[in-house]
Amino acid sequence: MILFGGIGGALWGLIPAILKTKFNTNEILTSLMLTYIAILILDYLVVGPWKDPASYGLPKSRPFPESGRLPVLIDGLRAHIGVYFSILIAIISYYVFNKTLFGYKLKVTGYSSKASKYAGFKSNQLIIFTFLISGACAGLAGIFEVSGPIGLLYRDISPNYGFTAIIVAFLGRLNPIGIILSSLIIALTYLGAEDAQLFLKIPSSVGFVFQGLVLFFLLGADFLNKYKVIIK
Amino acid sequence: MSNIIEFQNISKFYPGVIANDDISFSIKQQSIHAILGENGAGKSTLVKILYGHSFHDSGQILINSRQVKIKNPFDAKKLGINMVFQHFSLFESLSVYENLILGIDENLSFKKLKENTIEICNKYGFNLNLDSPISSLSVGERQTVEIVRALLNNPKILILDEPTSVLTPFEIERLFNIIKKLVKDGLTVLFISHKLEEIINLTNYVTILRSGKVIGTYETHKESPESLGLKMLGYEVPALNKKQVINSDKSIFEIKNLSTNYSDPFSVNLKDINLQIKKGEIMGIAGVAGNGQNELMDILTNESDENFQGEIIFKNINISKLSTFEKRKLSISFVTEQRLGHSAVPEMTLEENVLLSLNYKSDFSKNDLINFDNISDYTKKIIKEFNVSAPSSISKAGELSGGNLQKFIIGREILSNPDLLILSQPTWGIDVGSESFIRKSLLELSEKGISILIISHDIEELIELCHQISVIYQGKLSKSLTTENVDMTQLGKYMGGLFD
Repeated sequence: MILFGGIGGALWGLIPAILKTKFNTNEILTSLMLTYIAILILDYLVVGPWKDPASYGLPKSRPFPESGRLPVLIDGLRAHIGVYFSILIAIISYYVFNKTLFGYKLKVTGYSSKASKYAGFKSNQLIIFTFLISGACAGLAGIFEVSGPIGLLYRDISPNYGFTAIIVAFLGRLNPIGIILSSLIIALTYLGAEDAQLFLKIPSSVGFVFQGLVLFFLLGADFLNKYKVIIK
Repeated sequence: MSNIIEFQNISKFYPGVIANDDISFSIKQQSIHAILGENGAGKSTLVKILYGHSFHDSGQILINSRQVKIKNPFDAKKLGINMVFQHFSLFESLSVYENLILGIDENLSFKKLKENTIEICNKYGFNLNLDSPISSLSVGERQTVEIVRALLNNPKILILDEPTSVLTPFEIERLFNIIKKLVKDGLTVLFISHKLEEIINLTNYVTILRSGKVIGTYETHKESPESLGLKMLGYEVPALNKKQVINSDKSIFEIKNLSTNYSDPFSVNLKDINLQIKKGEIMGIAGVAGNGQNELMDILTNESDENFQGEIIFKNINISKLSTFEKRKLSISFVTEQRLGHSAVPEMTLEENVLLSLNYKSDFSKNDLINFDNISDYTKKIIKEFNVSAPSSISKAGELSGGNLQKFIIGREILSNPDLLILSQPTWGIDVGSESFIRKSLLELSEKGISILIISHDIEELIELCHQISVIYQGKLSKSLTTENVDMTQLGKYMGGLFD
């Protein structure tokens, strides 16, 4: 199941990669639009073929059987072995980006495609490979989430995790080890927002507002570090 | 003759630099006044202040002995100051006529504008087809459009910023005649340049700037290129001596019947290019920008995605189809025209940039693992041997000045022991100190028996360095001339396309 989650993500990631290398499209736009397609496919599945007959009309799938659930790390908590995986992936990507020629090629191609050509790297291959790996990681994240804490499929399965990941990445200064730390901090805002709603009757959206503010001030501070504001 | 412009104690500060430091000098009416200085000496800043592009922090400007405040180019034009920039500001897809209209601030009927334009063209012998689109014009013609546009505003003062850098020797001569005629008709011309010979030939006065300060204002006819150079730099440029080669007759690198068939209207098609370089020889390809130099370079580095006909031979191997990586392994090195984002990544450290072109070396990466210890040693060696002023080997490439980065890049390629080094615009836009250092390194390299191909717009540089020189014009390459005792008139003709 985990394997197929990864493969599915990789294939989904292949679509923007092919569009980019063949037609030179902007991968941010195509992949963003593809997420909406993916959400609608999920929608179709949970109200159509995969609908739980015992759900009283609620759009969700049957709960996964025990064999389709990830083992929980500590009894009574929701943490599952996906945590190990994500830490492992962060460490591996740190190693790849800092010690291997492959990671170096990815970095150069990301900074400047002309420099990448000058260096003699085959940028199209690299682009496709990167999308495959990233897609697979995203697919793994998804499968861990549904087979771990949730245990079934329903419509709003992800409270914007994909977009929050952007904040996590920037807050971690795009450094894999930093990302481990920043993801913990952002996770706190999710939990904190839920608690706030439960105990203080503050809408949980406050958490999203807070995340947005973090990214806004972070990028703002980066900008002001480089430039000086002159008022004429 | 009275002073038309007086600069009094002009200073301009940028964070960390003083671009203009207490500049005072005056410009006489109806004279050709040169401002001479290295890149970064403050010429552009001063001219921008005069044209209202930026404002000085202290000091004042007097025009006809009256103090003026020039807040923007519109103010400058009202005072009769017009400027022709080094990088043209023309709309490519519009016609000459439409571009002229756009440059006029006052309301003018089309008919009147046409009359004025034709009058100016007849008076100074400009030959312009008003209806042709800018994209179909040569660089020289584009400059003419810019000059006519400036003249339509009836200027009293005309600023020309490095006007000759894009012209052939022929066009330069024509431009100089026009400038002289303009001055006779009452104009004052401010001529910005760093080319010493031109200043001696054309101008009446010269003001020399060095690191933001005025060194002095001199009457040009009392000066020589050497004396001006000494004042501009503050030290003497070491003379280069070029050893004449070449013992062997056998060519090490050869291009045979290279042609392209691009459908892209913005690229130049190469037509039947033939070229031979011997061991230890420096070969130069001269020519005005945009005549196929970039297309040729892209094919040599194998960065072009398109196909071409013909053969490229290196050490008796046909390398036409080889990738950049395989060519480097055969010990061919490349230095491209663009530094940032092409031959170096500004966001990466110098050490990481070493790996950019030398990732094929097993010392630096083996089984996909990077050996940063070896790279670090190599980087420090480049910094030391090529006088690169950089805080450390892990400074970001983008933090270095143009000259230092270019020394670093050329050092990186030279220390990799190539047998053939191909460079495009090796000293473009860098300071004179770095320029002479790079030229010296290239000559030393050729003495060791390494062949070098230089593509450059700077004809003086090529004559100084090369043994043989060819000219590229609209994708065709002339036969090569021996640089020693080269006939400049013939070279000028070649640059204008007069060869078969």
